[in-house]
Amino acid sequence: MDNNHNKINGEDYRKLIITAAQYLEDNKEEINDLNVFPVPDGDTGSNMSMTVSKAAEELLRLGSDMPLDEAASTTAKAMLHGARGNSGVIISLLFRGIAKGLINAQEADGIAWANALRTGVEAAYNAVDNPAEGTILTVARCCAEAAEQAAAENNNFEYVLQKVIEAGSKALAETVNQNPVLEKAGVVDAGGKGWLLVLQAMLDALNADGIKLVLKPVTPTVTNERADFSSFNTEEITFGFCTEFIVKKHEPDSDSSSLKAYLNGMGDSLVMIDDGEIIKVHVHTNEPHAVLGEALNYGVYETVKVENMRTQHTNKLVDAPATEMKKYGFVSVSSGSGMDDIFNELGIDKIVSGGQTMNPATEDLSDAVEAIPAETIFILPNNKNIIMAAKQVAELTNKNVIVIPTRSVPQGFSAMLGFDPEASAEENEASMTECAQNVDTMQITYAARNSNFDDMDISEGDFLALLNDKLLASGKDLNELFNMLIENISEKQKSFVSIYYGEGISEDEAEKTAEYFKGKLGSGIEINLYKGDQPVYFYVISAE
Amino acid sequence: MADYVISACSTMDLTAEHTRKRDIMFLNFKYSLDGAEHLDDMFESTSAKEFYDAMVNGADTKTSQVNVDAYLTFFREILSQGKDILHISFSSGLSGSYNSARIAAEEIRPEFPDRKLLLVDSLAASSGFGLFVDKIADLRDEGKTIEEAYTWAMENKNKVHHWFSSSDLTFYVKGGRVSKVAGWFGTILKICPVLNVDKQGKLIPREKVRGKANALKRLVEKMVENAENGADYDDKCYICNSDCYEDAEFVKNLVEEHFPKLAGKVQIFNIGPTIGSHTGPGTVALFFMGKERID
Repeated sequence: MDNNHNKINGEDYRKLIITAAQYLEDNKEEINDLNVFPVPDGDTGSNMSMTVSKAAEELLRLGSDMPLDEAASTTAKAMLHGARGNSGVIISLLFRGIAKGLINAQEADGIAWANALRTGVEAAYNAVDNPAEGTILTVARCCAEAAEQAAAENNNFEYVLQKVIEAGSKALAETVNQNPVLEKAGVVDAGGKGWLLVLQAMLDALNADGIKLVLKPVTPTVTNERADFSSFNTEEITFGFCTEFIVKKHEPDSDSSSLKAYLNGMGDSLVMIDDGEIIKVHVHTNEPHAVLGEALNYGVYETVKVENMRTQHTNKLVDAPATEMKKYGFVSVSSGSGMDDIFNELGIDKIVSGGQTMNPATEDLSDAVEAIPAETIFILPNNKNIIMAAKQVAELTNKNVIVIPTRSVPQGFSAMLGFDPEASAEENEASMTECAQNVDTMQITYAARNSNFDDMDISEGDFLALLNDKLLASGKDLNELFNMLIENISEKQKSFVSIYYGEGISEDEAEKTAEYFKGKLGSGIEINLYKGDQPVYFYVISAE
Repeated sequence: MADYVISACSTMDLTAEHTRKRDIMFLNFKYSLDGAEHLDDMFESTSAKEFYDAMVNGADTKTSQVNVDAYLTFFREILSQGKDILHISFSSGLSGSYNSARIAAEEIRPEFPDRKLLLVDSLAASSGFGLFVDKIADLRDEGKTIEEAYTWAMENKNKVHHWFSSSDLTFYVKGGRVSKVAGWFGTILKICPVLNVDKQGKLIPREKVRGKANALKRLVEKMVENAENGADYDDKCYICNSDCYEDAEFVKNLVEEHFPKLAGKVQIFNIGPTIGSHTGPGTVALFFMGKERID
């Protein structure tokens, strides 16, 4: 085997990541199809693709000639912002650890790469509460172990990567036997498959010419009537100090073209006017002190003004109208106008649109956090696939972020009941979490695919009933599913039932459902009907 | 029979008959209904139903602080009969009446240098206040002196637990008694607050629960958590309600189920017009002796 690539540099890394994004984009459906759970949800392939694409876009935007450590940290940061779904978050954590392993590196040989893979796996394992076997984590760990051994044999990047892929393929095949759900369905883990695809893309890219990235077209920019500062990232400001000064020249009419050339090299947005006696300068630069020092060679200052545009920008982001800092703020993920209304009534400051089939990115949540003028922000993810992305928000903000691990919208509602404006953040975290856990959430949705799950033969389009995220039953008769939910409510001696009906369910139909529950449950249990307008779930029913 | 009088205020929300039986005197608070002034006599002369119906139909209710003069008259009448007074006052955390009583007492003591007039700020309200006064009357009946009864009252007043909930907060918010959370409970989610009276005798919303049944169950859970001797609680237990007797009975049954050793049956009273002016209908409150209120 010909291992031409002993080591990689920043430019190589850039190429590898961009190619990985391309592979994921091209093959995401194949990964999506590995989903065995019949419930409609945010697909692994799409989530991983969107996460890695963020990094590819950023690397393309910043252009070539980047040192390796910078390419790696840029990748990690972009993925942290763009992470969607649990698989997206885990892949972002792997790359974050890799960046940590490559810190200060200009090049990576086989040993350095093995080391980076190891720190990647460590970062991912650290962030997952209960790492399960037979997942992307297992595959990544086996890859890292193989890398260490391979690097000891031959300190060659390409060789190590080849060995990693061999080991990864075996580990991926093994996932079928490690996870009973996968075993039944006879498929490998989707996240693990995605990771292997990333590694394969990297290997292929090493020997490919040029860079290819054909992502979906970026959403066209909409012109807002008022400038929307939040759409500009603070990071996008390349030169941070708006520097303005007027210099009275030592010698009138002397030539100042050399100053102009100097300033052009120090930043951008340069405006320089020399009227013979004085020079007026406006420039954006990262080194205002150097600029001001140089200007002294031409004359004496009349005025000087330097402003940090990053903080200016941040101020605009935080509070366009002067707003007082509150002690507590709330971000909630929600979908459906009825659900949004209830969250608003409960005092949620910012709603991030999303849910089961559309997992918001970490960045969407952190933008919401930044937009609330409060010291401590509670995030209610209201879905198990969003909790991890929410937990990453703390990395992107200086605010105190507390994620209440709510797994459904009704849990989110109940969490708000546990909030006490006068209690400490820790007390609120405890009582909100406890309140959320007092609720049983039942959901009625449809099967997104044919499946044999938990010994249930499920056909696409069947109704599915879930109890606290677990598949309870499937069938074509809604009332039969309702009966199972009703049984659960009676068994657990709950006394307050809320029925939130989704989009596509008429009010008449919803009222009939409520009547059905009333008839079965009797008068001791209060039943309330709400128009939730949520997608995917015909009914969300909570009992407390 | 002891030679001192136990007196209190009509806001102890027992019944007039009950106080006569227990030989407890009380000062009537006053309230006005659509501008007409009435004496709070714990619904002896009017019915609770009439009063709460009037509120629901939009009648304007007002209460006013009992002034020093009223206390002077009240105390003077008893003292001039040659009797000492142990006066138990409505919580200073909810009304200025304790302060009026204190000023009146200072003013009148020199008039009756041989008489004792002892004041206790009960830090209690409604039938919790009533339960507390009843306990003191028990001591008197056992032959305890006025000083002994006073000492017991001072040492135990913070052990009277008040836990209550309402399914209709319109009047709480209107009366500004739960201003801190105004607007919070009117939600479509049918959120019922669970409140208690804190160690300063003030009304504090403690928890929010969805649905009336859950809120009423929560009251009993609070009793399980806080009652003296836990499930072996063997003291008095009172419940009061504002025009929602069925809810009070629901709580009574739960309490009797959980606490088989109770001293007698749980007694259910009305929330009288003074406190009722602030709660409106739909409030159920549970009272018992328990751990010292620490916050």
